[in-house]
Amino acid sequence: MSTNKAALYDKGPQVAVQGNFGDLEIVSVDTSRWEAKFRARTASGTFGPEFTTRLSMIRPLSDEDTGKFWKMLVDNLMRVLKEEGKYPSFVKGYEVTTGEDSTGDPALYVEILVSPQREYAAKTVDSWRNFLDLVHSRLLSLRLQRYPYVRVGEKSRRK
Amino acid sequence: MGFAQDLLEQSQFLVRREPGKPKQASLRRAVSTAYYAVFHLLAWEAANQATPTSPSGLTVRVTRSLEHNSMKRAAQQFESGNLPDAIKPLVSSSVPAVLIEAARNFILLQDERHAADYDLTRAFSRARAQTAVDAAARVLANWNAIRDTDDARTFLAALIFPKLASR
Repeated sequence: MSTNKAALYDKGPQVAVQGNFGDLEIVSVDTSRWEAKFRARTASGTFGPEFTTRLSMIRPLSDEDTGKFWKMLVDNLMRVLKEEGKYPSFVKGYEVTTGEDSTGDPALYVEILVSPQREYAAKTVDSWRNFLDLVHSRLLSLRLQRYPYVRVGEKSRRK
Repeated sequence: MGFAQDLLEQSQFLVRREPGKPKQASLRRAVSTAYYAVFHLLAWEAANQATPTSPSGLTVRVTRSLEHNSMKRAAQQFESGNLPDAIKPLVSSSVPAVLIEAARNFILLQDERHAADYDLTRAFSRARAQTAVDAAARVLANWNAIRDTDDARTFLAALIFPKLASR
């Protein structure tokens, strides 16, 4: 029986594979469709095929659970809210971090940044509250494996 | 609700104590006190519902047995609507928005309280503290509207009996 040496030594198609052969990276997040696209990437820049994952399936501390992924998720949600005309002018930015909450459960923290003032009227705090609740509800509806904590921060006090 | 209301008033005072540059101690104590206003409201209501009037002092001792962690988990189930089978038949098909908000604010305040008391790596802003105090005020202001509903009674039972809320 003859051996096809070309088949043995040929490099074959150059495709990245997750694990030893490539790191996973986030491609896109679509909160309207409750899904995210990932792909593997090698150090030399070779990409593997994209695959789609439900947002609710992304486990804490898994390869998909990166700061970049969560930032893209919140970016996408904020873009959707802007398109719906529900993104208020008092929002001067937002910060996204992950960690553990006070009971050690996985958490997603979204800090909505507003302009600092000497004091805040009840009406102002109410309008913040409405937006915080909206963002929180949208995140909660995605059934993420990190519980979303949405709070207010002051922009100029940030480093 | 007297003690809870007193705590809320203290937190409202502290968050506005220094009109110019607020002291971190004032803001952090305001947030912590706001959480405990809600905690003691719910703990007292839950214990009061679960214990007889005699012997006197039993209700207070039951409130001491409540665990913040298991209360949070029960609140999360009510907030998300993802209730265990043991509880599902006991609540209405659409839990009142006020009860969902109370559950949500309890969860958020618990985490804010922890940050206010222990995490000194980042300064607490007045905006953040005021939002927390406002959240507690909303829970106390709206509680009377729902406290006599079956949904609220089941929520209180889940807070005090962790196994009721476990799957």
